[in-house]
Amino acid sequence: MGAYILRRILISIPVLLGITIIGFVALKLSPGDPLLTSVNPEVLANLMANPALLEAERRKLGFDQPVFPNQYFRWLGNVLQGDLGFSITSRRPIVHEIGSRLPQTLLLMIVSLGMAICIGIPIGVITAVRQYSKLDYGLNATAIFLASTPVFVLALIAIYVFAVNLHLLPTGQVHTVGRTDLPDLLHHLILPASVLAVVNAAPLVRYTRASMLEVLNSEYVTTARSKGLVERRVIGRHAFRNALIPIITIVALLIPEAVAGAVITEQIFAWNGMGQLAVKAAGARDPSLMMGIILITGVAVLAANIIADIGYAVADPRVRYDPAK
Amino acid sequence: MRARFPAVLAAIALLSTACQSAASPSPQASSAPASSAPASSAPASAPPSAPPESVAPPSDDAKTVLRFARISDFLPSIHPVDLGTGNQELMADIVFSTLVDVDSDEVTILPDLATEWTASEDATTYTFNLNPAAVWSDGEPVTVDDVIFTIAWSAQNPTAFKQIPVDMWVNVKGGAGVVGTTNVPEGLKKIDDHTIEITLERPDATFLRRIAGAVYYILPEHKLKDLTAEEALTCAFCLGTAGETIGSGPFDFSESISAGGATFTAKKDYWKGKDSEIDELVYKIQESNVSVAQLAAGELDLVIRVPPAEGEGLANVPGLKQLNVPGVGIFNINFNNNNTDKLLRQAVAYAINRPETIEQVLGGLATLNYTIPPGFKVYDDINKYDFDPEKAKELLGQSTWDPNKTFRLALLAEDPNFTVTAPALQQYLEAIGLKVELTALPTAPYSDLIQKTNDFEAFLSFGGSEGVGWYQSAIYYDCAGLGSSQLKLSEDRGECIYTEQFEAAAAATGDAQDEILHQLALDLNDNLPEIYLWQPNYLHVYTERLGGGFTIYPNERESFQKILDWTYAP
Amino acid sequence: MTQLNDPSALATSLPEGEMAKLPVGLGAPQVVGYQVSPRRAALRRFFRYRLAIVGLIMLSAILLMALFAPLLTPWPPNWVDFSTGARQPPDAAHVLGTDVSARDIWARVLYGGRTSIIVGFGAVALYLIIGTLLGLAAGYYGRFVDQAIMRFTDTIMAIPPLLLIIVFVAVVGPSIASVIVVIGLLGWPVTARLVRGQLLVLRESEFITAAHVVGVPDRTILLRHMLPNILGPLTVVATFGVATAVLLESSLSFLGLGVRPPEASWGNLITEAVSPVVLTRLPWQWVPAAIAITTTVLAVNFIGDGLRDAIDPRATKRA
Repeated sequence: MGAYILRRILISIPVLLGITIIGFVALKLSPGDPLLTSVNPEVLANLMANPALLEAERRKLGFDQPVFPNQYFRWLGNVLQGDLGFSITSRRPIVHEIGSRLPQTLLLMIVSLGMAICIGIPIGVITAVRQYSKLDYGLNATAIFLASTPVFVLALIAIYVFAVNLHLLPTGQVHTVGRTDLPDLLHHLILPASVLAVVNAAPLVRYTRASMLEVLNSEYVTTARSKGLVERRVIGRHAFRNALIPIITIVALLIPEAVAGAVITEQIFAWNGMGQLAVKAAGARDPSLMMGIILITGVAVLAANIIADIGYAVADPRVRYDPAK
Repeated sequence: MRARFPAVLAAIALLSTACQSAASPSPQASSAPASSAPASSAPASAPPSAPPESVAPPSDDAKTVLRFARISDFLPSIHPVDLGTGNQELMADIVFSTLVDVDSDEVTILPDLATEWTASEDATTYTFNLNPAAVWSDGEPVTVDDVIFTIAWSAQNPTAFKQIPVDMWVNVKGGAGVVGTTNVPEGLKKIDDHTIEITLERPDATFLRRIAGAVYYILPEHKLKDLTAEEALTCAFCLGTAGETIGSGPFDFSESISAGGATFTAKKDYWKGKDSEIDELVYKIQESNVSVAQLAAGELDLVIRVPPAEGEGLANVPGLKQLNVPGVGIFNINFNNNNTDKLLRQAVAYAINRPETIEQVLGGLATLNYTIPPGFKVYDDINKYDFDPEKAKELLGQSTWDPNKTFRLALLAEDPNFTVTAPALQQYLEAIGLKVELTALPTAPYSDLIQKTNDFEAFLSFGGSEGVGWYQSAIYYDCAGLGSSQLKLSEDRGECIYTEQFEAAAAATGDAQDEILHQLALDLNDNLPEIYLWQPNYLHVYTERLGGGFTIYPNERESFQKILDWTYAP
Repeated sequence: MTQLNDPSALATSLPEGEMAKLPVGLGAPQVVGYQVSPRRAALRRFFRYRLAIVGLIMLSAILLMALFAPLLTPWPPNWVDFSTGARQPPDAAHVLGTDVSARDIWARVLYGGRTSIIVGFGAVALYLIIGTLLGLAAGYYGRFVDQAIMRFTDTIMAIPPLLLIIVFVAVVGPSIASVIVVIGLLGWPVTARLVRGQLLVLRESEFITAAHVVGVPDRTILLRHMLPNILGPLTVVATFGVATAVLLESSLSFLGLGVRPPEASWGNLITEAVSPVVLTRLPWQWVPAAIAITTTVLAVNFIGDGLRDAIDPRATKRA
């Protein structure tokens, strides 16, 4: 098992490098002086006054060299030492910027994905078991409808109904002004997490349904039925377990999509997380900050994929022997 | 910060309970924790594994806490070198002291660090007597040495000031000679520990009023003695750090400045002999939309500059009062004087029906401006450029403008002040035969366009004298100003044709001054380097619990100067 | 980008090693069942077919409305109607009222539809071309070329699409063209995988072997025999791709990173609703655009579902 996990991690590294290379080269193409985002502002102000020093610093930092591979590897070296550079907008180290927002985003993502799984998979199973029933059509139609509605529309409707009209929940932010306690945080979490959960649950329902139907129609389920097993047992023990593997895959695939949903959700609910930071960084064209965000999300997405792989290995021991080879 | 780790734990626990309920194949049950959990049950449904300390809600029974916000422009810093936004100025007024303050009429000078002051008749030499009781947060006395340090440091490092130039300090006699050195300008004379005489390079009757501005606050020498210009952008003191940033104002930072704001605690036994009735200030930096929602929910006590259109929605929230006043910021069109000539600019001024736009697009929530420079008197012989499309067409025909060329009007896409009225302006200008292209851009590409590529004919802007006086708007025309380079507009960028007139006006008094200003107003009104259109209203919303000396100044950035007089009824 | 609206796209959106873990034809319509009477199965096919027809009618209506916008409203989309004023509720002259700048909302919804449709179809056309070329290259040449292209595809797919698009739009500056190009440059992996996968299957098929034997040149085999055979599945991918692109464009415009403000787009019409007073008191400002987006995406999804049923070989065999 350990060797399997290690191999999965090793396979991910080139993909992560690929992501950062694409981002790095793209951002280098954007107009603006790269020096501004790579040097401690204290030093920079001093340099600006002296063009000769400025040129020397440029050379020292390798900005006279090709973007790839030279400049890229320099950046990579800094990253490995925990240095992501400075944000031009906040004039603070990017590690600090990201560090102060990552927990909020992780919280939102974990809770909403968890909720999506808890809602989406059972509904998918039900619709498959009751195929062609009114319930099936109803739930399926709802899922298609939700999958066709933009996140921001759902979020605005949710704010309108639950916050503005019913006064049940706050309209946004992580905390009430002046409070930092946990019940307050959870109170603020409910609305954005639910919206994101609903958005992510919709495709999950459709996938789970399709996957369950495939298994339900397979021969061994028919055999199990013909042996006289109780239907609940057939579905619970045999069908669902076998449908689980593709479902794990889908959950892993949902993660990049959920990140995208989180960007918009955070923006509407003024949720002080990475998504808001990304939009700000884009508006201010803050390249080092965007690079940091790409790196962190890339790591998160790949980590989620590895966890999904471990999930397969647990759900289906055959996977460990790597059937692809 | 403290709540974060337990929060993640609790979230996972919450998840597991949610999953348990979803295990039964009923969709209703599984969706329950998602959407229909009532607000009050949120703490109750927190799983038993949640750490016990999280249960205790914050108690604010004895403490008076004022929670407030202002529009969201902000730089996360407090040192004068990087003090460019109103939010920072408000913070500086809370934590620091200036030599003198100004009253809410924006004219009367009030004591702050100085209890008394005198000015020589020629408005060149000023003497200040400091309050001997004044101390910094760490107990050190505030002396003349701190004042000298502040002024000398500013004069030595004028290029360090990235936002608002501290012209008054730079103009101290001998100021120009100490740039880059560690010498003290000869215009600073220490009479004794609490008396200082400041001599200016040239007469300036506006000196006292201008040094009441937040950017002229006095810095603690014992804390910043060895600070270099470069360090002023990033030192712990300069970034507004609790415990590090010490001032002589009525409050201390209790939570450092972050992108989301800061928190302040009132000083006990404050040296002015009176403590603030408000114990704590929670200052939120956030989008206006969030502030409006929080006002409605009772989470905020005061929001300065709510978008005026939101007043309608807040009108029936109990306990809130609204102050809807003509703002001091003036909406204007700035021209690229390299691409445009005077006749074209005048044509544009005649083409726009300002009263109609105010009434029909802005819902009447703005005041007409007579295309005069901010802070100037409306002289009788000023051309008011009343709407006259025929005249506009005629002027356009006489100008050097090629009618086939595209007139590029740039605006900041993120500010509703610009996006809401830009289509109206475009329509008026197209009616006189200009081919207008609106270029709405996010901040970074926008400033690239304005400051670097210069590929535009005009841009929309928002600024003015902040209600302070004509001299406050000098920076828009006076090339000596170090900040806001895009606003240094004159006939030809780089050649500062109005500087002399502004300096002459500052040196003069009475009728002589009025005569200079009259001529200057006529020149600017005719040449139109920028057209002033209207002043959008400022809407301030506050809880009726705020009282005592609470007022919002016309220049709302200065409203916290008299916070010691505010009361907050429980 | 991953097309989560389409379960059948899943097989093609997985990293290569994981494809083996999926049941074949996941998400394909399940027509035959142990418990389904033939009549019910027929009913269901009819139901599906009907939805696709409904989708087609809805989409045609939207396309026609966008195309003939000038006939359906007297107002140009950017015209400021000073005589009516801003934020006015619907009346006879302005059937959906006016917006914050006193422009006709119905006109802006109609012309905004043009933006969505141009971006939706333009971006998909672009990535179909890129994806097909890369997929053909990978599937046809195999070996090193295949490996290189597939690794690159994995990389692009691991990046959250919206985030990468935000980065690239920030680099090139927001406009309709940049939104199309960016979605196009990032959306091709699904197509590339699909084309490659189909090609690998086809290569082993008898008629291609036969063509090889009689000496038909490679290029002719590729273009004359193989490409027509993958047009069906490509259509399905393209349809769901349009839905995704319309949603993406509206998200970008909503965030202020898409179409530039004076120009109308459904996304930036809804942006006004972040103002509490617009959200609660002026619903006519944003609800129509929200309905327009959902209707369009729903219609495209219906068509996609129907097309997939019609094209899936297993479905036809069993029908």
